[in-house]
Amino acid sequence: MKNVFIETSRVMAFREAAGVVKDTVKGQPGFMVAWGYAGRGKTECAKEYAVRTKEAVYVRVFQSWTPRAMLATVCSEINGMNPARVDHAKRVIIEELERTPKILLIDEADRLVPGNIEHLRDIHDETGTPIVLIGEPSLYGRLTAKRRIWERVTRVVEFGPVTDEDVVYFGMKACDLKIMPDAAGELVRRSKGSFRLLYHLMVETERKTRANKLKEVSLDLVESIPDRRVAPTPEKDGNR
Amino acid sequence: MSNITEMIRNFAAANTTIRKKQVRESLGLTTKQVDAAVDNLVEQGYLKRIGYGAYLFNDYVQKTGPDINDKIWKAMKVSNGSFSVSEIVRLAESTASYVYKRFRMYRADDYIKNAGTRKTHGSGWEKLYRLTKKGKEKSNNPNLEVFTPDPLIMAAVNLNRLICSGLAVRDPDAAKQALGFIEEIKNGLEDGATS
Repeated sequence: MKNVFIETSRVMAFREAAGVVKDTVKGQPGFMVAWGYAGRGKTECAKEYAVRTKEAVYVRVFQSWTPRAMLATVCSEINGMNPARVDHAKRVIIEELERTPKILLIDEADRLVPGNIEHLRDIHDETGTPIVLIGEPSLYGRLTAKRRIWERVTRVVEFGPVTDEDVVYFGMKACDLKIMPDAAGELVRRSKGSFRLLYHLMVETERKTRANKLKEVSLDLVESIPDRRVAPTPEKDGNR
Repeated sequence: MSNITEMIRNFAAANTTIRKKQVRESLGLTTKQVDAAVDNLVEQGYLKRIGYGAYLFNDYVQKTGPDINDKIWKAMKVSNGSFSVSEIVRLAESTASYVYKRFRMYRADDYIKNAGTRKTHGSGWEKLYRLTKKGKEKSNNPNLEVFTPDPLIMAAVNLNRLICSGLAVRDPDAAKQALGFIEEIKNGLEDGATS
């Protein structure tokens, strides 16, 4: 299987929304949110955007980050400095962003505690830097809990489940396989809309087609792939 | 870069802070020549204005490198932890052969190191790499250029400082240092005359 990036409709929507918030003038709200359940391609999309956009800074949130840890990481990504104090880190970030405007991509933002989101708001208000928060839908609750933060969110992109078209396109680009529409539907159902699960299903599909010297993926072939992620069988009284 | 701009860059590198008037008088240039050259150097990041007619030399200048190399560095930076060539190719929109070529150079310069292998589905195994500490620092400023002025110029400026401050006359060590600079300048000029 080739290592490819599939440009889905969500990826296009993300780029378009990021392009809009990037052009926001200082003083205007410029928060953007990209949410979706695990395995929907949010992180890959953010990384791809960060690499292809010169001004983009990508930061991944770690569990239990303190304000200092977060601001020092942002600072280190922007200019390589690692300030020891929150106030110093914030001042350096603000100075640097005023000199060279950038766009901040904060991945796994659902792990941010409300205090850290407030620090990001300060940076946004002081510099006009657009901030893109990427995370799972639980992020919604954290953002709407404070009206002053939610009012700054101007764009929301939802990374929904994988569609039949995505599966067909992925099969063609990554495995050089033609996937029949009914087989694509079955793959979507079994992957539960997750790209991560779809990838593993496609690995098995590719292996089977290669073994059988096939170029097309039919519904029968997909149905013949066993479910590898079965739930534990509940024990009955008779089994004891 | 024109000769005048290069001359002023060397002069600024040797003196650290300069004034336009001082440049005009020391290098025998006109006001227009100095203004144009200083504007160019400010634009390129070599000089920073610190006051009216006063400028500070900046020896670390961030240059714009080839776009693709910047993308490769950024792709390595955002791939937290280890990464493979195919991942960098996908993120940086490059070709595998070019990324392999860059990786060979980065490994030789100790910017990246091996981080094991990973099984790929269908095509065997692929090597994984990781940024070293030096590489992480480099990834923040991949195109940093350090400017070092001509040694002959440095010798002349240092000699000038020792003579004008009177140190060369008062202090025997400074006098020896000044003689060393004279020797360096003499050798440099003789080499220039013979070549």
